Amino acid sequence: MVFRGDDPHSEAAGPTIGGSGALVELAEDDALPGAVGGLDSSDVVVGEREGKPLTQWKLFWRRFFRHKLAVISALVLLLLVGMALFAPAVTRFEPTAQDLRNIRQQPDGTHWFGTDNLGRDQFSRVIYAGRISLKIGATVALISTLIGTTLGAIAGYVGKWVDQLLMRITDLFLVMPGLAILMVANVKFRGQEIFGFRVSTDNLAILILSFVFWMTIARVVRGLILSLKEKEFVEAARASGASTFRIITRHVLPNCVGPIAVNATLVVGLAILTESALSFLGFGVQPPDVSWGYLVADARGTAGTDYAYMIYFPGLAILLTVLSINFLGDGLRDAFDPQSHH
Amino acid sequence: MLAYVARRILISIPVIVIASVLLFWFVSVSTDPTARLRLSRDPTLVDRERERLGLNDPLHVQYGNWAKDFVRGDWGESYISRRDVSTEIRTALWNTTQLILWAIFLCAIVSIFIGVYSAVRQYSALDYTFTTASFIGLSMPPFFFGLLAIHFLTTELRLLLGWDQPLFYSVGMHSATDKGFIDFLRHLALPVLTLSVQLVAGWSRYQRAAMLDVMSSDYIRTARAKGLPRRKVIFKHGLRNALIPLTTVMAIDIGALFGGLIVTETIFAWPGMGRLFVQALLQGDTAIVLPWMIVVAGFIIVFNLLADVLYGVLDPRIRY
Amino acid sequence: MAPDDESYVPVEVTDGDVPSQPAGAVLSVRDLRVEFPSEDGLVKAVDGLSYDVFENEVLGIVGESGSGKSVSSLAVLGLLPEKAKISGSVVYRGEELLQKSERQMQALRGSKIAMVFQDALAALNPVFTVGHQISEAISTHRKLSKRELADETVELLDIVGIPNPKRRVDQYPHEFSGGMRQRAMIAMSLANRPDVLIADEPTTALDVTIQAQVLEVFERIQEKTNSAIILITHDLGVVAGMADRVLVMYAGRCVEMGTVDEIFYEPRHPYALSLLASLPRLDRGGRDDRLYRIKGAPPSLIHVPSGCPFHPRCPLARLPEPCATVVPPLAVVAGAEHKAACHFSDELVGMTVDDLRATEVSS
Repeated sequence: MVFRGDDPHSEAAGPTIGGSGALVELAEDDALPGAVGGLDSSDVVVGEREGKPLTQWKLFWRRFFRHKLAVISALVLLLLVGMALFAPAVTRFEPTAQDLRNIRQQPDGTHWFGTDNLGRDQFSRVIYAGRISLKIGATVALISTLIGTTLGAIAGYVGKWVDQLLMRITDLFLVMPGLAILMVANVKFRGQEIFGFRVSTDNLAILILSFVFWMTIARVVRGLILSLKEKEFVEAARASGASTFRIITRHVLPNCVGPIAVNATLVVGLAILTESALSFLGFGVQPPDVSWGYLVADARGTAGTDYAYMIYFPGLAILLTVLSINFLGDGLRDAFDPQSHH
Repeated sequence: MLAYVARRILISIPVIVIASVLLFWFVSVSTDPTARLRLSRDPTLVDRERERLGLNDPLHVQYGNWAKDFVRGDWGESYISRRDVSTEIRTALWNTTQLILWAIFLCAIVSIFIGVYSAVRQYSALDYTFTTASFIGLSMPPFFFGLLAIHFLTTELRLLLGWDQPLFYSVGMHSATDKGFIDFLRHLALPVLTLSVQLVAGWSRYQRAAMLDVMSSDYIRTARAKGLPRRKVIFKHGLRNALIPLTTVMAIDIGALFGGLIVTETIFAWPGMGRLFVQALLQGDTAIVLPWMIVVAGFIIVFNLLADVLYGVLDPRIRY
Repeated sequence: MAPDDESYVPVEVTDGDVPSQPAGAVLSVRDLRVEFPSEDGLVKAVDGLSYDVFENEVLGIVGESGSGKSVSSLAVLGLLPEKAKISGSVVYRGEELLQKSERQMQALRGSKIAMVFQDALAALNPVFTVGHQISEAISTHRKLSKRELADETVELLDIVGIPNPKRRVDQYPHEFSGGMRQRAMIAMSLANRPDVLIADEPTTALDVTIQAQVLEVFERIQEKTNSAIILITHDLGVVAGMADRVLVMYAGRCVEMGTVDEIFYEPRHPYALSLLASLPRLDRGGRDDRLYRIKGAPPSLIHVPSGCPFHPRCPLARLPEPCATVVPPLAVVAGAEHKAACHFSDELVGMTVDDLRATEVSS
C-alpha cells in the first residue's frame, strides 16, 4: 500500500467554505448602489430562494439527499456498524468455535461465508473482525481529528512563530516513511506494557495510527482559520463588540464543520485501509484479536485454489466499507460546499 | 530560475538532517540490535556487543558516529546475511525502481487521458464509470487486489488457457531458468497492475478536477473567443495548465513509492525495498532498518524538491 | 411569445428566414432570450433584448450585474455553455448567427467579431507569452510567414500604445501592468481588423487614471478601422465619455435606449434617472447632502417581478395597476430613436435629479 500521511487526492480543499454559511445571517436587505457610477458589481444573482429563507441545515440535507450514492452508502455503513455492534445477534456461530468435521466448506446455507481450515464459520469471523476494524477506524479518525483540529486552530489563530513551528513539524511528519515506522513501533510495543497496562494489539494499532493522520486535518483547519480571520464578517462582528469566544463559536466554527467532517470521514477509510495493510503484513492486529486484514493474511495461501472464498469475504468487507465511506465523504463535501466540482 | 532552484535545495538540506536525527532517535529507541543475542548462553555476549556497537554512549555521540559513517557510505553489515547493508539496499532499490518506472509510464498516460475525457465529457456515462472505478480503486486494499490478481490472472487464467505455466507470474522478478525480457515482463505484469490501480485511481481524479478547474477559467473563454477550434482549446490551452498541478502531485506520489510498496512487494515476493524491510523486521535484522528509512525519507524529500522545481519550470508565474 | 418591444417591426422573413437589417447596421439583435436551468429554477438572464449597432459608432450597454449585459454579448458570439437556451435572432451583415454551426462561428470569432474581456490577468493564458497569444489570434484566421506574423504582432502592440513592443512580445502576462495587459488584450482582439468589437467591462479592473488611457485606445482604433464598438459597463462615467448611443438594461431587458445626450439629459425611465441620481456630485448640496440610493436589491432572475420588473424599487411606481401587472412595452418617447419602457415615461419629461430626490424624502 502506498502510504501517504497527507493524501493529495483527498481534495480536502482548504479554505472553500460553504457558500451560504454564516454569511447568510449577516446578509443585508438593502443593496447600496456603489458610490461611483451608481451600480454595484456583485455576481449574477442566481439560485435564490423565494419566500422563507431556508436555514443552513435544510439546505445541507436537501443537497445531501440529492446524492443517491452517498445516501445509499450511509445506509450501508449503518448496516455494517449495526451488524458489528450486534454481532452476537446476527451470527449463529461463535467466531472461535472450531468444527473439525466441517473444515473448508464452500459457502452454503448454513455457513454463508463458508468455513476455514479449522471449521470456523467465516461469516462470524468476518462480522467479529469487523468490530475491531471499524472500532480502529472510527477511533483513529476521532483522535486524529481532535489533534489535527486543535493544532491547526492554534496555528491559524495565534499565527506567527507558533504557526511556522507547527507547519514545519507537519512537514517533517509528512516526510517520514509512514508504514515502515508503524511497523517498527508495532514490533517494539507488542506485548509490552504502556503506563502499566497490557495493551491489546488492536488498541496498540489505534495508538500508533493516531499519529499519522492528523497532518491533513491540521493543514485544512489552519487554512480555514487563516482565511476566516481575514473575512469581513469577523471584523464586523468584532467591531460590533462581540467577544472572542462569541466570534469563534458563532462565526468561525460553523464554517469549519464542513471540511472537518469531510476530512474526518475520509480518515476513517484511510485508517481502516492502513490497519488492514499492517495486519496483513503481521504488524497490526493479531490473535487473539482478529481484524479483516488479519483474516485476509490468514487466507493468503488459498489464492489460486478452490478455497479462495476465504479471501473474498474479508477483502470485500474492507472494500465495501471503505467505498461507502468514500462515497459518503464525497456526498458530504458536496452538501457542505456545492461549489466544489463534481 | 536558478535562484529559485538553489533556494529550494537549500531548504531541503536541514530537512533531511533533522529527519535523520529523528529517525535515528526513533530507531535507537525502538530496536535492539542485540535482541538475537539475548538467547545465547553467554551472559557477557550482550554487553560486549553493546560495547562494540557503541550503544552505551550518549545518543548524540552515537548519532555523530553513525552520521560520519553513513555519509562516507559505510552503512554497516546486515546481521543476518553478513553482507553490506549498502549493497543490499542498492539491489533492492534498483528492483523497486524498475517496478516504479514501468508503472508510472503506464499510469501517467492513462490517467491524463481519463482525466481529460472525464472533464470534457463531464456527466457522460463514461465519466460516471471512470469515477466509480476510481473510487473502487482508491477503496480497494492493494493486498486484496493483488491476491485477486494472483487468483484470477495466474491460476484461473492458466487453467482457462490449458497451459502448464501461467501467463502472468506472481512470484519474484525472474524465473529460475529463463531470465529473458519476456519472462521479466510476465513477472512484472501483476505487480505493476496492482500498483497501477491505485495510481490511476488517484491521478485520474485529480486530473479531472484540475481540468474542470482550468476549463472554467477566463483564458479558455478568451481562446474560444479568438476562434480557436475546440481541440486546440482543450489540449493547448487547457491541458497545458491542468498539467501543472498534476505533475507536482505525481512527483510527490512517486517519491513516496520507493518506500511505499511494502505490501505489493510482499505479495508478489518482489525483491525490492518493501520486501527487504519486511524481511529485516521479521528476522530482527535491525542494521537495515535505519539506513533504509534514511534512504526512503531521502527519496521523499528529493522528489518533493523535484515537484517544486517542476512547478517553477511549468508555471512562469512562479519563477521570480 | 410576442416581443415586448413594439417599436421594432416584427421579424420579416426574407432570404430564408433571416430578418432584414436597417441600413448601415452591422449587427442586429432581435428579441434575444437566454435562459439557464438551475437548481432553483429557470434563470432568465436575457429576456427579449433588441438593438442594432452601426458602423463606426460606440454603443454603450449599461446595467447592474445580473442585468444580462454580458450574457447577451456572449450569446452573440456563441460562447455560452451548452445548457443555455437561446432564442431570437442575431444577424451579422445579413447572416443569422444563432443558426450557424460551431465551425462557422469559429471562423467569425476573433476575425469579424471580436471580444475584449474584463480582467486581463485572468483572461490571458498565464503560461504563454503575450506575443504568442497575439500571434495565435492572427494565425488562427490567416496564413502568414513567421516573419510576417512576428512583425504584425509587434505592430499591434504598438497600435495600442505599448512601449518597447519588441521586448514585450516575449514577456508573460503577469509581467505586464494592469493597464498594459488590457491593451494587450485589445491588441489581440484587433488582430484581424474586426467589424464588431465587443468590450465587456474593459476598464472595470483598472485604476481610474489608467481607465482613461485605455478608453483612448478604443477611440484611436475606431478612427483607424471604422469598426462598431459595443461597450458594456456599469460605469456611467465611461459611457458618458465614449458612447454615441446608450442602451440601459435591467433584469435582462432593455428599459431605455437613445443617444448619450438623450439618456443623460432627458432620461425617460425611472431606473435611468435613478442611476444618474445616485452619482455622487461634488458640486451640489452642503454637508447634509446624502447619497441617493435606489431602494431594494437587484431582482431575482428566476422569479422576475410581474409587470414592470423595476416596480418594487421604482420611486414613481403606481401600484398595483399598471406597474405591477402590465409589462411596459419599449416605445418611442422622443425623436425617432429615443425609446423607454415605462408606463409613465411622459411624466419624466423635465424631471431632474433633484425632483427625484424630493420623492424619496416625501415617501
